[in-house]
Amino acid sequence: MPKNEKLFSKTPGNLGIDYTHKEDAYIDFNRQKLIPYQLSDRGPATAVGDLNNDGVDDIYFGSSKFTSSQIYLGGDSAFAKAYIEPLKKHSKTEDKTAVIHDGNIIVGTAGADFAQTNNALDDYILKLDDSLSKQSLNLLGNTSVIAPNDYDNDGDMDLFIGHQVITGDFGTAPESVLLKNNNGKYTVDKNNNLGTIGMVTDAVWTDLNGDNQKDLIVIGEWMAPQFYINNDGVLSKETLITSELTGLWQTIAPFDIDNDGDMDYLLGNWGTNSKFTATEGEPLKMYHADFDNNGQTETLVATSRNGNYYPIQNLPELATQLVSLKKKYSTNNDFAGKTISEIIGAKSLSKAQELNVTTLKSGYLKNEKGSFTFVPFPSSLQVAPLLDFIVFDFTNDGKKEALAGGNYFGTKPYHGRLDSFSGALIKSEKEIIDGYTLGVDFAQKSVRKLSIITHNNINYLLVTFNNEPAQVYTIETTQ
Amino acid sequence: MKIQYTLIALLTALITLSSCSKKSEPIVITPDHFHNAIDKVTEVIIHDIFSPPVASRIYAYPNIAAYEILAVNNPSFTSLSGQLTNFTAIPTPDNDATINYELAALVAHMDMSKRLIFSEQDIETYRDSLYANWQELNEDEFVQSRDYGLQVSNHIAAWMDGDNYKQTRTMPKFSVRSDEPSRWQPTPPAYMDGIEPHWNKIRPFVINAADQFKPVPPPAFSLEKDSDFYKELKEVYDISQQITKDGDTSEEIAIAQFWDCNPYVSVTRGHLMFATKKITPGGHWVGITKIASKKAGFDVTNTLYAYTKTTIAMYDAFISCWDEKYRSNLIRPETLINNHIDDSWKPILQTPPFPEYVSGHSVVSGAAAESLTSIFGNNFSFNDDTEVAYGLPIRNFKSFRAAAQEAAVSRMYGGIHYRAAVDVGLNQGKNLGKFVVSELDMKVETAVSVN
Repeated sequence: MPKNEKLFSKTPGNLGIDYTHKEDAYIDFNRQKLIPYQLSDRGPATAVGDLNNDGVDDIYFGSSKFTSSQIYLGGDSAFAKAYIEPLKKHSKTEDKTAVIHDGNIIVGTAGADFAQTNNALDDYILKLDDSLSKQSLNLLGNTSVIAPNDYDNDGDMDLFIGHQVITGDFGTAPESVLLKNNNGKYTVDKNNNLGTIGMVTDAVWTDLNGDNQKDLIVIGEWMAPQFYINNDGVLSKETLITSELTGLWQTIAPFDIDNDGDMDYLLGNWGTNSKFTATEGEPLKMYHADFDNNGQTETLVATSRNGNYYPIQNLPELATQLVSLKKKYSTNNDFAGKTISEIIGAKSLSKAQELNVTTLKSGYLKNEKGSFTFVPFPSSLQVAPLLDFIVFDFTNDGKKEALAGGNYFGTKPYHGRLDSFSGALIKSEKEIIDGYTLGVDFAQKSVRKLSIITHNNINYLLVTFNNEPAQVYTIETTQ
Repeated sequence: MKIQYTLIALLTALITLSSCSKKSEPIVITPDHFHNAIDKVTEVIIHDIFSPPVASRIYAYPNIAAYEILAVNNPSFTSLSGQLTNFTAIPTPDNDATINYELAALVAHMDMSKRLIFSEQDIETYRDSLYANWQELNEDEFVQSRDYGLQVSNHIAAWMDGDNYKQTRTMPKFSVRSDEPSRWQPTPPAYMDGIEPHWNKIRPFVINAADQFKPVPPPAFSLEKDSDFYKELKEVYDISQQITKDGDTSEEIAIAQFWDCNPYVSVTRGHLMFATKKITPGGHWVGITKIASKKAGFDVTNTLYAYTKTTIAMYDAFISCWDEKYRSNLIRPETLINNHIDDSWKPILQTPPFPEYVSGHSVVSGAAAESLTSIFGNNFSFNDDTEVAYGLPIRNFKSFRAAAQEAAVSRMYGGIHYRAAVDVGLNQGKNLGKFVVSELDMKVETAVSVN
């Protein structure tokens, strides 16, 4: 590649892909006033794979609720929109995540708005017949990730389904499950009860112990990465990290960053450029309980200052939910300098569930003979949440790199928009190239999915954003 | 506070020692005691910035507590138990107790007020000075009457607890959707959230349901020049332009200012933002009730009768009005005029933070005027000096209905309501007020008319 030429350039005509994700107007804070950030805006889903069995890539874009998802089929000259009318039938759901397997689209629905019992939270399989018939997975929940793998090694594809939140009850961990495939019928694997793992955001199947069986790593918010070793179809939890490592983890990707032949894992976190602060000694805390005894839970997020914990929200904000505080503190002056324990009462606080975040830094789990040490990225990668990685040989030098995208706006105005990450190409532990020199246009947008699409035997980078048009990039080295 | 109690205790001890015997002089409670107590509540409502619907609740319950104690013990009046939703008879005092019912009523009133507001100090200071006084005059009577008053206050509070107020505190906020052109959105300068979007879920006192007096819908939203809606929008703008031209001395501006009753007017000076605070519409009519009661020379029980009936009517009026506000969710004239007619236009009054239709002041004034008319008569003229403390003049009114009429139209002059909200709102309030008056059986009509 000649010097000064950028690695990526926008593909003229976007390969025919004219997809703009539009988030719906639902605001989580209107219903749950004290939660630290939104959960309704984590889509859209993007899945790439061959849908019509013609050997070329097709694309599925999931939509926010009450708008139609879209399918683009790969053709000779470009991608073309298809199944427009049949997709309208399935517009009610918010399609947060999807995978394409065997010509079918497996869709995970979420949105954190529909009630837990609403069938709009039922995950489903779209079969690519004329009418796009829908097969329900009979699994209600706000799905954040679908990770397929034949973990019982019986020749068909099973699924890990991660759930992030129980609608209206931020902070309570929902159950995540393994769905076992029996002749195309999926049932919850009762022998592999994963239970309430946490507020799951992502998962990856990967061989951790070199037995040629893929094991499972699950990550999420207010939790540490969880490792499940697969022994002939039975998953057992193991501790493979040395530190506590609770975070607001968003994405995980296997990548041999130190080039030592074993697999390391990139981990996207919240970053350190926000009002949240966290260290192992003074973690970010979230208290979760029904503090005002109204039958619904609230969350209170507190940060440490000189060892004392103070709420992030001020008195007027807290009092929108905990009205009695207005009586307890009739002036802001009375409230100033009070610890969370003084505000809520030590007794009430001790009864609450306490969740922790010990690090907000993105980084990687460095594999050292099967045990993992967390190594944070340099500060240029901590400016905003990292939401997706894709590992590919972009430079066409025979060695893979990882491209990172991020930014997130679902916070309250006090936090500002976490929008200043322009992407980065991670080549090795030491070499990271900033996005603005790469030719990608990620800043001020929230990247949700990075995918490689192949069209006429050429690889392109497809970038899906929240509330923005999707972008296609030509990778200059592969031209 | 501790020091204060200690002082009182010391003083009491000294008095007891020096006199060597307890006094037992009569404790006389006058209507002014109640007027003062209610004025204190008004002051705290202003200080704590309670919104108009919430203020209507703060006014009503203490009055009911006090009235109930008086009515149960006065053959000319009827208890409200069984007449207000889920309200049961208050406890009766022990047989051997010596109760000064007017004192007990005042204690219950202050205690209920204290529960309903945030800044308790003002009310406590007033209460403690009265307590010290009564203690000295007649300790036995004071203590027994106070204890009974507090017992009734507990009863009222337990009933109040079931009114859904607590639950509505934590219900979802109003969702702003700026892509719907007719839908209300926050207004300048403070762009506050819509207040009390769930007030229609508050348990009413007399009306059967929040939508019992559901008004006709507002004119269909349209920005076509010949539509009814647009004509009303234009009318607000034209009136405003005309009276601004006429200047501050115009009668319309005087009327608009007089009935503003916006508890929280945001003021921006450069980067400094503060608020000037005033009484609520309910507070204004509570003030008029005081003026009328004094003018009519009402005794304690009649005074409480007037306050109670009027605040009950206004409480239900707010529920009825807010029910419609968050049904029609209609956009304010300021938003539309700024977007479509004149981007620098400002209404004479500041637009309050909730949907336009129907006008709250119109509904509440309509209801309050019916209640007051039923008590004081149709042609009861009065000089309204309620707003003097806020730098506004005294206005004279021929009747309560005339005052309500003016209060309603003031919202158009103020540039914060269309005509339909004012006309329909006043009518809604009148009908609701008449219903409350006809349903409530409070004062036993004496046999005078029979003779």
